[in-house]
Amino acid sequence: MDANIIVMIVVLIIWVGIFLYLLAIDKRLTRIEKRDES
Amino acid sequence: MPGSSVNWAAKVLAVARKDITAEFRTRYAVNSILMFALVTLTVISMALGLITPDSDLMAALFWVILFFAAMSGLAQVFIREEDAGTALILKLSTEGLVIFFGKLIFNLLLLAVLSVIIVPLFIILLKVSPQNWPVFLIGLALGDIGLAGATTIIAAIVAKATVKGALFTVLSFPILLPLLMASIEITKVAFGGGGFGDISAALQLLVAYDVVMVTISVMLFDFVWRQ
Amino acid sequence: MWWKILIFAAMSAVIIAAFATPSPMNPAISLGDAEVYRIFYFHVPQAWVASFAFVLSMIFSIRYLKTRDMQYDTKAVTAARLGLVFAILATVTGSIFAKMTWGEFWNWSEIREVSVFILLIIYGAYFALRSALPNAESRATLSAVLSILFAVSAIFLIFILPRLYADFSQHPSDSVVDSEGNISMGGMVAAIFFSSLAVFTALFVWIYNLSLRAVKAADKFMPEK
Repeated sequence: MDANIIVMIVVLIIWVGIFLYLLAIDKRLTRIEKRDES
Repeated sequence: MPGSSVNWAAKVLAVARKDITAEFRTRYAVNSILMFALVTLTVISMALGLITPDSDLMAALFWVILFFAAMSGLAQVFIREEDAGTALILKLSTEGLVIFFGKLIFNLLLLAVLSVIIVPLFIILLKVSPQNWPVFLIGLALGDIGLAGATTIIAAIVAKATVKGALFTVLSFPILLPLLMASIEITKVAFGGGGFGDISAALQLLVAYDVVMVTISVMLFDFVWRQ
Repeated sequence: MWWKILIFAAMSAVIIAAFATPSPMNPAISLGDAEVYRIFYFHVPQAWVASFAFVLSMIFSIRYLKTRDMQYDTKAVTAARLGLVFAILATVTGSIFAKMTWGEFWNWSEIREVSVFILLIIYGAYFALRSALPNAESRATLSAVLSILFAVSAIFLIFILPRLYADFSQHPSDSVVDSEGNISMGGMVAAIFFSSLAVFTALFVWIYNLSLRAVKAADKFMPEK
């Protein structure tokens, strides 16, 4: 069981990292798009 | 229109004949294909030395030789036009379909010449012979048709690209995979002594492949040709 | 906005479930450690998304050929780029799995691994062609034609590969896919697997949209000729 938990935590951390990165890109794009409209 | 289908066939043959005469003078493609196949065959033969691998391996090697030989020479038919600057004139002189079938026939002839020369040499050098000749020949014929049929349009595509060298092989490989697998299987059976019953599935697939690939190529050729 | 939170929550749930629940593989019949088979929850959806991306790219290619509208070419490449990423992911996870179960990083008699690899080669060939065509219109047209040719060939491969590999059913089966290729999963395994499939697909759609928006934004600042 232990090894599984470790791998799970590692994968979760990687996933959170990926997700936040995507969110950052999303926000930045929205900002650029809004800027063009104004 | 009366006589139009006769005209059509005549035009196709005219295109093929033009390529054949051009080829006769320079012999680029034929030399390329033959020498490549010969060299590959020799390398394999020497590398195997005294080992006699089983007939399945031989069947695979046979098609490896054909595949790479085809890759070295079948793109010439369109690249030559681009290099010589005659592509534009060709485009204006007749419809895409005629060009396609003309070039296809030329490539088929190239493969036929290759096959006729390579098969005896293969048998002699590698000491392997088909137990079932009809099966072998049918497999070879359909395989050659598939090779030419599927790669002619790829050759047209590559002719428009800048870095032509390895591109033809890179693009052709995924397209030819089903053909290679089916042909190898049929050749395996031919070397091993099986009959038509053993190859019915592979045969069906090969015929379907040949028909479908030529049809799709015909449908898509104009897009490529007009670029 | 809420669906991004949903993606986050769903993927997290899948990850947790994949490792906290019993392994999908029956230890009695598994090759090596049964725990390793958990990778199946991630590897298969990646392969699926990679294939889906290819089909999507081809559909956009067809639309381009019909309408000659460059935006379809942009969509086709964007989908293909993302598909390539997932194909690489799928090949890598498959390779990791192979190493842990059979001790080798690669195994040519593994039909599904070979299929993913062929997908990788197809993507590679597609981008090789595109990089050799500087003119935007011929690049769009010729790569569209190539896409279609590859798709036709892939259909043949789907029929012929299983026949050829009928003797080699080394891919993890038994608890999931039996030797004829029929899938039968226990309820919980199925739930986790299909959730993973859905999440990966949703993730693909999201990243695809982001890529598209990025291309559009870049175009505004540096318009291509």
